[in-house]
Amino acid sequence: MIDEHERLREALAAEALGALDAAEHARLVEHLRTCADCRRLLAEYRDAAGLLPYELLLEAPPAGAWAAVRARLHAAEPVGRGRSSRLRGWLVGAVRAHPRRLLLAPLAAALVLVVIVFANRQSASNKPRVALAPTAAATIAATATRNAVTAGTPAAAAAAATSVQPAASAAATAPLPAATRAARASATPTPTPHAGLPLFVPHPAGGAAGTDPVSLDQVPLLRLGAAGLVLLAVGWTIARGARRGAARRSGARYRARR
Amino acid sequence: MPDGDWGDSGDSNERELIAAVVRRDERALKQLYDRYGALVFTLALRKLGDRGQAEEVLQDVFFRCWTQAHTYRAEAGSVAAWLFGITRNRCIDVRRGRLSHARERERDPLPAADTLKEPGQSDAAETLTLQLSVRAALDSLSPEQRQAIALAYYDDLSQSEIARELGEPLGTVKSRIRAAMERLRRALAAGAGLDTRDTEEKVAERHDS
Repeated sequence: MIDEHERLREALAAEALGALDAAEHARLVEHLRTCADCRRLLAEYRDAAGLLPYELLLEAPPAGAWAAVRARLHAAEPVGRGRSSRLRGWLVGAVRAHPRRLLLAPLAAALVLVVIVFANRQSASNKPRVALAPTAAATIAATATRNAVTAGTPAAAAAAATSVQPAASAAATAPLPAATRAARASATPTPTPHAGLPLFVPHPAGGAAGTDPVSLDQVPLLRLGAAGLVLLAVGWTIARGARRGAARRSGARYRARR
Repeated sequence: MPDGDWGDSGDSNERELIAAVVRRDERALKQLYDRYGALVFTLALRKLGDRGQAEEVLQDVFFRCWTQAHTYRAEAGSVAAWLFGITRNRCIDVRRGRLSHARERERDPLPAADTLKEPGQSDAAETLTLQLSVRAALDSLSPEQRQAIALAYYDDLSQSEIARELGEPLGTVKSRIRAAMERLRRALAAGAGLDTRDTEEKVAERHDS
């Protein structure tokens, strides 16, 4: 193990020049996965190799080269100085930097959707349990915002942030503490089929007394749950595709040098 | 400057430029172009020997920099090393596209430079400093060491191909490359210390004005 480390360590200089033979390169790549020491030394050799072009007699690039680069950038995607395009650029950049975090966008969006619809329907029905729903809604929305913000996924953050407001104001208009206390006192969680959305499962028995809780809640909740799952699956697929694409591209670049 | 600091000598200013490119800031890309455009073009020209193809590579490198800046990892090396790595890969692609031409490889020793052309405006001084320190470092190598490095870096030969090319044992070539790179690493680490100070002074100047 140590011998292998020492031997491969001696190959790092050649690796930085791209001069390792294929088999040795493969062994080194494997070793680098687990050896931070070698990764650091390789970076130093790469920096040194990256200075080699400075020895060359500099040739000025053709005059139109930058204009041609710009034309390609603008052909690939509109770039402007306007606010909206800068925002878009930032969004694109953020997503590209962390494609995995794109996962959280549909998750947050799905939660927010559920929360909004749930809160609206509950406040329309004007029962004591109303208080419970917006409170939960606000908590979830806040959590979603926090997740989205730490994730750096701006779309999710924006979506979550806008949704917090209605949810929170719904909570504020409801007679919160009294109603919550009443609801908690009489709350007896009923087992329901929506195992995927446990937050919305407990029905305060008192609040549900006059109505038929099953027919009221189950169908739309199921639909929303399904919609959320679909959104999640779509987001996951996109994020995975982006990640694979990036891996494939960099892999191809790397292999091309062998 | 302690040896260990060399690892992140690709100064933070450049990493900020890359981060700005990720955020779609065209001016940041232009700054990188002003600093490295001539070097990328020169490297491509050295490797391909054709101005038209070198310009093609130049455009492609900066277009790729724009679309793939998010793949840059500071811990894997400097921004310069990253850009030149892309340049080398693109040159290989271009060469493969014209394999039938059976290009004759240049085997001349690296050109000694006594004249320096103006690369950009603000980066000229920095480039000049680096040119001088790199040339000084290379001058400290033996001709055999320089040749081995040039065959690897500019002509993309592997160690065994270099051994075959020179008719020398593989072990000799390996230790030659290792010794040369070790020397360069140390020499340039010392030079980079100078350079980093230089950059910090410049940044301070910019803040003043």
